[in-house]
Amino acid sequence: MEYKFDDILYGALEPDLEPPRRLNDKILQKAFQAEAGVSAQSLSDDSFDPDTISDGFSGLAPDSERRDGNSRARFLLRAHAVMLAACLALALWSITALAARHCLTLRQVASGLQDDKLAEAFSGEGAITVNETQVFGNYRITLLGVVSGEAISDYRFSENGVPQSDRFYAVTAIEHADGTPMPDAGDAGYGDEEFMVSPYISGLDPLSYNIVTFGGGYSEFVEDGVEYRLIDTGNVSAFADRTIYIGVSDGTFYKKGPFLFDESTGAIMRNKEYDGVNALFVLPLDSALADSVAAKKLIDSTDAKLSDADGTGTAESETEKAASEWAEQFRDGSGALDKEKLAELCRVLPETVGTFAPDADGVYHFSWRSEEYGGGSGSSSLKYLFPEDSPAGTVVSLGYSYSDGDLSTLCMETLTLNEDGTVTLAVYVPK
Amino acid sequence: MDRDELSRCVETHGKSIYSFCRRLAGDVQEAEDLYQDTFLKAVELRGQIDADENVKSFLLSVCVNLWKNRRRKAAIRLRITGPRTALDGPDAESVPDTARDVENEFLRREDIRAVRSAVAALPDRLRLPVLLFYMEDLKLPEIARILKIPEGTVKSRLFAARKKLKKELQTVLNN
Repeated sequence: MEYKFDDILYGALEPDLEPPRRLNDKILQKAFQAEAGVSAQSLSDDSFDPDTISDGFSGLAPDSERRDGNSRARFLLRAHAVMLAACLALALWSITALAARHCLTLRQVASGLQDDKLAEAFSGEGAITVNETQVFGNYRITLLGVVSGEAISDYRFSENGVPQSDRFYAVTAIEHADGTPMPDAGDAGYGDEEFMVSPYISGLDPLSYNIVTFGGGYSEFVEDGVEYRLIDTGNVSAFADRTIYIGVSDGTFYKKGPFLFDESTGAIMRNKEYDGVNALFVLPLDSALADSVAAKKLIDSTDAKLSDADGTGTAESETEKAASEWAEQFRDGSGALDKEKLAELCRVLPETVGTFAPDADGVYHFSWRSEEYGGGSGSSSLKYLFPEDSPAGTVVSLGYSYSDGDLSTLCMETLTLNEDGTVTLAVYVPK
Repeated sequence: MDRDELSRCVETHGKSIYSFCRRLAGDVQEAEDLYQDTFLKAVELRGQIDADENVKSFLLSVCVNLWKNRRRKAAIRLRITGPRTALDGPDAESVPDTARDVENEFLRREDIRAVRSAVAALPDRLRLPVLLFYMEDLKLPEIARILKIPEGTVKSRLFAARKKLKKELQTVLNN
């Protein structure tokens, strides 16, 4: 059955769904009404789209980008943009870029994310406006403020089926210091500049206790070239009798470089040697917010996740990243592996070495087994295994693997193309 | 691109792109949005089509970018942790006969559903290469370009996906 697997995938995944005629007609209609200069407002299926007021959004722009969220929230945001545009028209060009920055308040950010309830919370007494900016290279990072409480958002996370309503929210603004806009959702570079925004607690190692392990998430959008991010996590205000930080670092997940944790004092500090973004803000929280019972609950819940390897996003991703980086270092740019580097940094598992000839259909069926590293098998043809016109001696990777998040079991399956058309499989492990 | 050209483009590549959107997005409404947005965006970006690039590959590239953007988009609550939603809904509604007739006469409807569900449950980093390779029949260099990852990584991901799918489908396919 195994040798048919590729065919099964081809068969099951064959493109077989015809688009509805109405959909195709709609595409043609929208594309050419827009080209003819008809405004997006009149093209809209709905009677009114507030987006069209402020930015002359092209009728060609994706529908969903106009349709997201409720119109009231977006109207508030866009109405602001209209007023801003009017003000800017009176201002000198030289200050336009600066004036455009920091234009959104906490409430407006929440509204921009279609969360009216949270927008209310950010306008209430419990909200803390910070508006502190730190600059790193070409990034200006501003912590706008925070708010926390029970059921203060229109959205509610569930963790393992249990609704989480006691939450902490923080808003940051990230922008280019040179005034160039951050990429917007439709721009090619959107998402290339990754940041991790997370609360950290003094006394708790940020490697283990961060937004990921606190059961958090984020939403973001770009407005006037500034990327606004709202983070939403377990209510860390319960630790208000300690120092609570908001850290912003480059990368998607926590890594050790940007921040230092002093185990003896519990302090978390910026690593001044770090060449990248590592903003760290201290939150001016009222210690009266401290709740030892809630704090313990949050720690217990986080510890439970940390002890469950499968449930630990951070640990899994860091491990995956390390494994991927290890495997990538051997690639030589042509899709093959650098044999010298492989020999230098790895050792082969002798029990896995085997030579395989193709079957009548030109398909190679290979497998390996190792008492220590498990085993694997696969079937494929030459054209999918080796770069085109590969000479004999070319070594390629079939992939790397490790078990249970344990990098000590990391290994890479390789195939070498032989003169006689056979292939030799060998599994390498780090020396 | 005039009306006739766009019409021909939709006619020629609509089925392929629509199928891709459906397998990618899972939800029908979301897939239709993605499909429509792909063509509208492609019209906007038509000046960027490389002479050496085939149109389907360009459309898929636009589609993948829109999909990735959407996943990160403001209004979508992006959880960092938590269970991934299985996207097996739309596939249950229809398994067109044509799919059965193609290469694998032994592929039953149940098998097709099982394969599609297993593919839908793959994480994006594995699902995208699988769809581009098996559904859209693209070559590794094209997939690498569309996903903006090295060719070797595409190969690794395809291998990992196959391995995962085999494991997942072992029982079904052995019956």
